[in-house]
Amino acid sequence: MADSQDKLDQRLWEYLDDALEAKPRLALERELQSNPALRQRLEKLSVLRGALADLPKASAPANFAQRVLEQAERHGLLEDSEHHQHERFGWLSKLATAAAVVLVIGLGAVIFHMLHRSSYMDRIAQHESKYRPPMEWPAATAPASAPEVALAERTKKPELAKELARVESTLSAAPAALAEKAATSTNAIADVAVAGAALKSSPAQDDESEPPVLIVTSDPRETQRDVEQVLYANAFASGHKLAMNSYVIEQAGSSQLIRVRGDSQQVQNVVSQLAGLAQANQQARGGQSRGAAAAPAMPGPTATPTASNAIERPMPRVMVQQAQTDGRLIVVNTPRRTEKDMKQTSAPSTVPASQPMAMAASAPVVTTASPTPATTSQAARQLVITIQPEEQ
Amino acid sequence: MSSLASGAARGLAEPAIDEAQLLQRCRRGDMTAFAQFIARYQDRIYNALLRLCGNTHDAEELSQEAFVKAYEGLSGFRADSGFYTWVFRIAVNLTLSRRRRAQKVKFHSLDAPAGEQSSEHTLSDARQADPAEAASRNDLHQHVLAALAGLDDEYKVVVVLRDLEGMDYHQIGQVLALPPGTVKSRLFRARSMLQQKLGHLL
Repeated sequence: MADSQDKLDQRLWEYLDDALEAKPRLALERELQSNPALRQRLEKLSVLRGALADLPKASAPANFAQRVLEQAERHGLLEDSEHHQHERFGWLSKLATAAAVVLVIGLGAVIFHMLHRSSYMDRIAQHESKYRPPMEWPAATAPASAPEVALAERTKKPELAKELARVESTLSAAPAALAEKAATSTNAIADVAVAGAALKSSPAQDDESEPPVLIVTSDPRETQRDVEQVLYANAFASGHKLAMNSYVIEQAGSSQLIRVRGDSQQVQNVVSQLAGLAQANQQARGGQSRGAAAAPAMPGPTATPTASNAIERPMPRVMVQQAQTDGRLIVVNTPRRTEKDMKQTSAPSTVPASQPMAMAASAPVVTTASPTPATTSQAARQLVITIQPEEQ
Repeated sequence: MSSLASGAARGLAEPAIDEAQLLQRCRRGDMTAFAQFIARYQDRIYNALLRLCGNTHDAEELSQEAFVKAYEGLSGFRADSGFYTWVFRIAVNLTLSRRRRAQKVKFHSLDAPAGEQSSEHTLSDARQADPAEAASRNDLHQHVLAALAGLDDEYKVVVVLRDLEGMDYHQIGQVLALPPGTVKSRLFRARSMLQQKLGHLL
C-alpha cells in the first residue's frame, strides 16, 4: 500500500517537475481527470512545492562582484609573484641541482677510489720508489708502513701468491753451494749471468717444467717485474719484511741502476739466489743452451755460435759483475740481439769482479751507476744492485 | 580597490552578451568579462549557498571563493555544461566538502532567532499589502526553512537545486555528479521528509 502510494507520489512529483515523457504524462492527466483523490494529492504536493519556491530570494551583498574580482586579482598577483620568484630563483635551483650532481659524482669517485685503494697505493709506492731517495729500511718489529700494507695486500692476490709460491719453491730447490759459490766467486757470478741470459733466450723457457724465476730482459719494466719477484721471494723465504720502496730502479742513460736497501745479509741472499737460480736453471738446461747463450762479452765459459745454431732469435745477455771497491753488484743486461749479431761482435770488455760477494754485502752505499761498455752495436743496459746495509 | 577590479566592476553595466563570448574573453584574462559572469549568477549562487548553510557570512565567503576558483579554473572548463552549472558545482562541492571536513561552516538552525538573517540581503515582497497575510507567509517561510535545514545535506541540496533554483534532474546530476535516477530518488525522499514535517501547515 505504502509502496504504491510512494510510486504514485513519485509520478506526481515527476509530473510537477515536468519530467515525465509525453505518453505517461498524458496517461496521468487522463487519470487525474477521472480521479479526484489523485487530483487532491497532486494539489497537496503542489502546495509544498509552492512553499519551497516561494521562499524569499536572498541577493548577494553589495559590491560582491568587486570583492570577488579583488580576491581573484590578489590571487593572480600572488601567482605572478610566485612565478617571478620561480624565475628569480630558477637559476639558483638549477645551480643547486648541478651541485648535487657534482657531489654525487664526487662521492662516487671517492668510493671508487677507496675501493681501489690497494692498487692505487701500489702505484704510489712504485712511483715513490723511483723518484724518492732511499729511505731507512724498516725494522722487522716496526709497525707496518703504508707500502708494507700495500705489499701485504698484494700478496693476498691469488695470482701473485701462486707466482710467489712457485718462485719460493724454486728458491728452496736452488743448491746452497751454488749460492755460496756465487757469493764468493766472480767467475761463478759471471756464469750465473750467462745462465740467466740463457734462461731468457732459451726455448726451454717456454717449457712449463722450466722454473721461470729469473728473467732479465732489455725492457726495464720486465726487469723490474722479475727483480720484484726475486726480491719478494727472498723476503718471504728469509722471513724478512720487504717494503715496496726497498729498492729503486733508475734509468741512467742506457743503463739501469737498481739500488737495494736492506741489511747486508738480506741483499747478499738476494744476489746469491739470483745467481743460484740462474745456475740451477743453467744446469737444468745443460751445456747446449749454455753454449748457445754464452756471449763473447762474458767472462768465464764461453761458446762460439756455430752455423747450425745461428738462428734469428732474441738473445738477451746478462752479466753480473761484482765491483771491487764500492760493493756494487753490476748486472749488465744487453739489449736483445740475435746470434747473427753475436757473430759480428767482438768480445767486449767487462770489468771482472775480483772481490767476493761477502765484501760487497758490507760495502758502503753507492748510488751511481758505473758505465759499462756496450757489448754489441746496440746500447747495453747496466743493472747495478747497490747494497745498503741496514745500520746505515 | 585596485584599478583592474574597479574597471571590471564598471563592466557590470555593459549589456549582456553571449556566454561563449564572455567565456572566451575571460580565458584571455578579461576581468571585465568575468565581472559580467559574476553579475549574472552571484545572486543565485549566494541564495543557494545561503539555503544550504543558513549563514549569510559563510554564504558570502563561500560564494566569493567559488567564483575565484571558477576564475582560476577557466582554462580547464570544457564547456560541456553551462557556466552556471559549472560554477554551481564548484560552489556546492566547496560548501559540502568544507562542512564535512572541518565544520568550519556552521549551519544555523532556522528555528532559532534569526539574527543571522540579514534583511538587506533578502528580497522583500513589496506586493504583500496585508500585514497579517505577510506575517503568515513569513511564518510559513520560517517553518519551511527550518524543515529544509533539518534535512541531511544530500537531501537538502537536491531540494535547493530543484525547488529553489529550478534545475532539472539532468542539471542537478551534473552539479552533484549523480545519475538522474539517483537525483530523482533523493529528491522524492527529501520531499517526503519535508512533507512529513510541514504536513500540518500545508
